[in-house]
Amino acid sequence: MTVLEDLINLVSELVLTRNQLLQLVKISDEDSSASAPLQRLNRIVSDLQEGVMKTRMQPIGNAWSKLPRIVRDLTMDLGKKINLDMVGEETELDRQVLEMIKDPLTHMVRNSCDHGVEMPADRVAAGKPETGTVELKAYHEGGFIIVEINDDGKGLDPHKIGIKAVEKGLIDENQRENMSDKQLLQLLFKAGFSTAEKVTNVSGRGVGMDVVRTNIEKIGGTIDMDSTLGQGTKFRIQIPLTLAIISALILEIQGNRYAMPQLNIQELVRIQPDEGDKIEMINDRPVFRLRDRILPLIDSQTLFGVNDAPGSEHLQDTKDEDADEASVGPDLDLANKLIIVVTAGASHFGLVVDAIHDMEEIVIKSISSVLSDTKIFAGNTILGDGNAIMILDPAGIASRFEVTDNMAGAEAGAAAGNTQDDFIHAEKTAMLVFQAGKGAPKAVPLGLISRLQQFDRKDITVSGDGMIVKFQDDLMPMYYVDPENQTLNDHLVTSLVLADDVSDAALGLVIEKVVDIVEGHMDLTTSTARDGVIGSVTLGETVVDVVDIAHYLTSSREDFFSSASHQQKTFAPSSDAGEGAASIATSGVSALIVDDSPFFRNMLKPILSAAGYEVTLSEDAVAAIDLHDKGKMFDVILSDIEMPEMTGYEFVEKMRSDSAWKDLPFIALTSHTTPQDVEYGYEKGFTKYIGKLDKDELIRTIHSVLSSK
Amino acid sequence: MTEPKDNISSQYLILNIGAHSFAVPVMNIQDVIKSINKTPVPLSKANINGLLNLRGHIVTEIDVAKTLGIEGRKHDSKNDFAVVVDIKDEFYSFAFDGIGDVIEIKNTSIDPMPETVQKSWHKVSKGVHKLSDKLLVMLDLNLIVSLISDDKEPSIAIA
Repeated sequence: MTVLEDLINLVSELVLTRNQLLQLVKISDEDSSASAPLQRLNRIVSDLQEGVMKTRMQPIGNAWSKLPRIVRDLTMDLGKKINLDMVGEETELDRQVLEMIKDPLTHMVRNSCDHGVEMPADRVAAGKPETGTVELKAYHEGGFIIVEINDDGKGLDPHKIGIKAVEKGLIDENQRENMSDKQLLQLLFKAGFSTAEKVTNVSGRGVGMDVVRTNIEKIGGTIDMDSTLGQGTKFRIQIPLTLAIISALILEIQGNRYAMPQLNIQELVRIQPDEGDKIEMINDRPVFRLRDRILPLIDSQTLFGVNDAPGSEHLQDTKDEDADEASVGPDLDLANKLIIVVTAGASHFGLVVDAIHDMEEIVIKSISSVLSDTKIFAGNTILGDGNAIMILDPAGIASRFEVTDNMAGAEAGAAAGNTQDDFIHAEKTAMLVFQAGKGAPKAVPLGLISRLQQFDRKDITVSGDGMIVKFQDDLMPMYYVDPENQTLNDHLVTSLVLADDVSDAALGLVIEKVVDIVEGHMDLTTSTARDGVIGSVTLGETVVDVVDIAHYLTSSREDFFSSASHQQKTFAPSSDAGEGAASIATSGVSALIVDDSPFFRNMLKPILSAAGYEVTLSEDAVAAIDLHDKGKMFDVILSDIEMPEMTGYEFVEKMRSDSAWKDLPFIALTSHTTPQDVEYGYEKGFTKYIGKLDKDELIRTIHSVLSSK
Repeated sequence: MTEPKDNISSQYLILNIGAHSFAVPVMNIQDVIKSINKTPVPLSKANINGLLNLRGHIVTEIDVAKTLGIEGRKHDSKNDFAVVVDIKDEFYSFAFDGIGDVIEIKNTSIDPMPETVQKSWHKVSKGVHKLSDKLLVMLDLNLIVSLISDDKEPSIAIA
């Protein structure tokens, strides 16, 4: 530890002691004789602190001093003519930051000389002066130091970068074609990328731009680049003035205080259950609707929980306590908590905290080596009141919980592949209720919705009687729920995306706004059925129209779903099932669905049809037996368990005992998946058990059952 | 930590956990503190008690009893005292139940740790010193820190 750092530590201690003294005087306010000298002490200590902090500042020129020589040596080696311009050498920044950016800066200047500036002959041919210029510029801007490195060389060719990236396997051809020039340039910062066509003693030392970026991000900075082909390249580095002191929000989780760097905080949101705020669940992951955007949430239990699988334990708890609440989210225990909307690079997430204290300027101290395996902390610090607390690391949290982009909550949930059926509890179904066009509110089973998305009006193309929108590098058909009364007036169009993860196909429904998520019994009244509406259902006090997804699935371009579903890669989770799937799906396998609920029949049919099956529907076991007696034959039978007249158990038992169907695979569709039920079902003759609303698992199960036959 | 040479006696502080007694070289100890006001660190190993502020330094407290797997201590006032040691520029405090006297121990009077004692004790101790009424386990606090740092398991105590 240097003398200076010791001095800084001592001053911090002095400040702390002063604060405690001031606190004491405030409490015993009758003792006013101490307050005057204390005020003076207060001033002196503040000045002293400021002065000591200033000693840490050094001009950035100190880091640049070696550069002219490096550039001169380089010009000799490379046979180029380069002029190095340095502007703003006197700009001051923290000594520590200076140390950290020294090497990245040197590397980037070398890069500009080596790859940027052309050979003199090429420059003349391009109509530029023979001598190239590399400009280094530093200045203050809003609490940051900006360092620019500009050259007037040949610039970067986005197209070339794209092709290189494909060669290196960083992206695939498809991704490349869909990337903008700006995005292509960003590939330069990816690990494993180097544009140097030949390895010289200047480049190819194994230090790529990814290392430069990592170093800069380590100190809380950002790096950006822009390049015009033939005219040059600009790098812009933004770094904080000082590493040592940051402004941080002190927050409280589970009775302990933590610091969150203010730079990463976007906003604070209080959850107000009275005003309809609540936490909802998408496939086990808590999310919050923030101005129609879905924000993935990380709550204290997820963050600090003993269970490594994020969220799972938490959900389990809620389920055990109150099954009815589980599907719409544990909003009760999160009531009146606060969400801190945090950004870390490209990721966004909401951190659920119990309380918020002050904003405080904190001195970051590194954590001891025995704590280095806790990836979610950036350091620790001592607060004004003398307590030591941990500083949360937004980037660490984001990577630990795989929050990789804005919509990652939904995606990560889907990726986890949880086969548990969260949306059905004792025949109850969670429905997303929304307003679209005129008439009653509409509803779609929550399980079918993969996300809520806002599209820019200009990204939507109206073609024929449908619409097409670009979505995740693919074209997605989009429909009005109420074609007569809906138009695309707004700049932003809110849409429900119903994506079939198995076939990679998706479709969008244009809606006005989300009203609620309601759980209710699927007692469908089919008298109101019309095109696009299966019927009506009473949810709580209101009657809502249940949207017929099948209608939209079939009206989407005929080949859309079926062609997509034949792609082998879409069955990736188990390769053997995938093999079977391709051959089975094309040969038109017949399936019988036995279910007394018209809703599920109507929902399952398009799913199976889309996967290439010939589907026959039967409203109960008796009707199914009728079909059997008439000599009908199927390849697979899917049956509900709870049905009037004859249960699924009795049905399968009867069929297994002696019938033409006795060797067929029987798959139980159920919402009851206690181990006892499953055991009982297998005893009676079911081949497999499957939750009703889990499409992926359903398709996968059918494939595996058929291919193992 | 300075290694005591042959035949040179150095001063050791006696520390207790339950019925066990340990000896730590006095030279390395920065401070002996009452172990209070610790800030817990989530996701840390089970034998990390938390952080505390000692005159502007952040000190990480290690629960020696948990590290060594000592269980079933009788009295409730566990982890009363902690000795603060600077190990490679990081400050650590080691929590013990109580502190005893400072005594002189000759380097030659230290016997090797009996082989039957648990592995974890061998890893952090150089040997045993015989007092007339009890045995002192010579603890090397440096080794405790490296033992915890190297351990990939979230909790040594359970393992």
